[in-house]
Amino acid sequence: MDLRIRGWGIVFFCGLIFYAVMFVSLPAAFAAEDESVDLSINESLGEEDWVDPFEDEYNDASENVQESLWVDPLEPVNRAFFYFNDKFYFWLLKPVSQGYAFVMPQVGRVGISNVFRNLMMPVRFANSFLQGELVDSGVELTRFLVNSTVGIVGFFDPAKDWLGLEESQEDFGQTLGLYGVGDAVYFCWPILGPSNLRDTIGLSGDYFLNPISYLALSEPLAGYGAESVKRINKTSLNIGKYETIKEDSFDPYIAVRDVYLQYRRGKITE
Amino acid sequence: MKHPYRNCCVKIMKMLLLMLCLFMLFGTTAQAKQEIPPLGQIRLTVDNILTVLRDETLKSPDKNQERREKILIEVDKRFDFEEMTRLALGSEWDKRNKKEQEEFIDLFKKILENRYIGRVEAYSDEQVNFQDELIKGNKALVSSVFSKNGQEMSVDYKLKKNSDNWLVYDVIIEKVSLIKNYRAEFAQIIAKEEYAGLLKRLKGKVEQISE
Repeated sequence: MDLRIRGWGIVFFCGLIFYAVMFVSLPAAFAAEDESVDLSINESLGEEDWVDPFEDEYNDASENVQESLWVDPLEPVNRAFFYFNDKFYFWLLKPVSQGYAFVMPQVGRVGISNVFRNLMMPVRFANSFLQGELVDSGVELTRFLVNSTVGIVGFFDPAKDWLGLEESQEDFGQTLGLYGVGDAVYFCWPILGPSNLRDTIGLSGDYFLNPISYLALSEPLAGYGAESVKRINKTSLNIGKYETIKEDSFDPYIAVRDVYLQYRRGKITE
Repeated sequence: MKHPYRNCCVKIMKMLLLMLCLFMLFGTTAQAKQEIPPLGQIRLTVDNILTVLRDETLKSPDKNQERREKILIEVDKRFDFEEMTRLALGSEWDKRNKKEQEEFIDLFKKILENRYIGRVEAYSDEQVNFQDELIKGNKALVSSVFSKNGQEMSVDYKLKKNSDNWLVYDVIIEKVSLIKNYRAEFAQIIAKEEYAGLLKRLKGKVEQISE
């Protein structure tokens, strides 16, 4: 327990430091004129300050090539890792997940994914807070209390089913995005998969809020075990998604990159 | 004993009846003229597709072809493939002549259908909630959510008005726009392999699908 409290201390301290750094240096460092994230958050459609969905970038296709040039200068390296990840998925991760799915019924897998999501509460709480979504961070706390008790360590989700409290799904990468940090450089990490500079910084920030990190520090084996179970469980619930993207695209690498970037931008402006 | 006013009464009744008939007739035409909003139109299409997907008699493998064709009829009525192709090709669209454009539309259409139907098929036994519509001039954005055992998939449609019909020109699945996704791919492939290279890939893909 004391670890967690210390973790919180670190978190708030880091948060403050990042906050300071963010406003001073990062926007300047990454300032990409055409990539700056729109700071108006639309809570629901039809409000005054919404992002106009029709004035978007169905622009000249040649601009896309330009964009991919500056967003993905590491393309050759990324492609190599993409190829590696593809093989890793088909040869190892997918068969293992399918075997796991065969012995573990769907209900159990959804429950286990809920347990992990429940554990990640600090990440969502802190980032909702940092994004000024105070209500959401309150909702996250309430969800955690209800689901950890009534929902049996988070296996079930009564907070959503009975109280209608939705998970906020925030992370530090989105917080940075909201502060105006652009995508910068696209990465395709081995094993971890698609990411970019901002979200990689985001991941390392969230690392301190992830209870599994502290488990890994004290019990390395248990920590990696937990992370592996989490990954396999998640994969077992999403089998077929990567395959369809791959099947429907002409160049899977570009398709996956674009899906990732679009998805993250969508999350930030949500 | 005949009532002196009887004839008159009958006349008035007839008049009233005629007026009522006329009113009903015009009333209904007035109603028929009233437009169905984009949300209603796309919902109708999705409901029809789901009805086909849930049809037990079409679930056997030998009925696959028939089932697909039924779905395609619905999709074709609602999707504006020319607009989708134009947006996906971007600047390349204007460089192509009419014949090339039509050839590309025909091929790309098959891929878009395949992708959209594939996504919807996975969620066919579940419910769809249509949530919002946002209309701006002749364009509209309709958002819907497919849910399946606790997992949700958001599907938004962008539609353009074409006389009385709202036609889909982009589908945004889980915040990822199909058209933008293809545009990114097309642009980069054209930059590397020219239009001919893209066309070759497209044909190969379509062959793969129809196998």
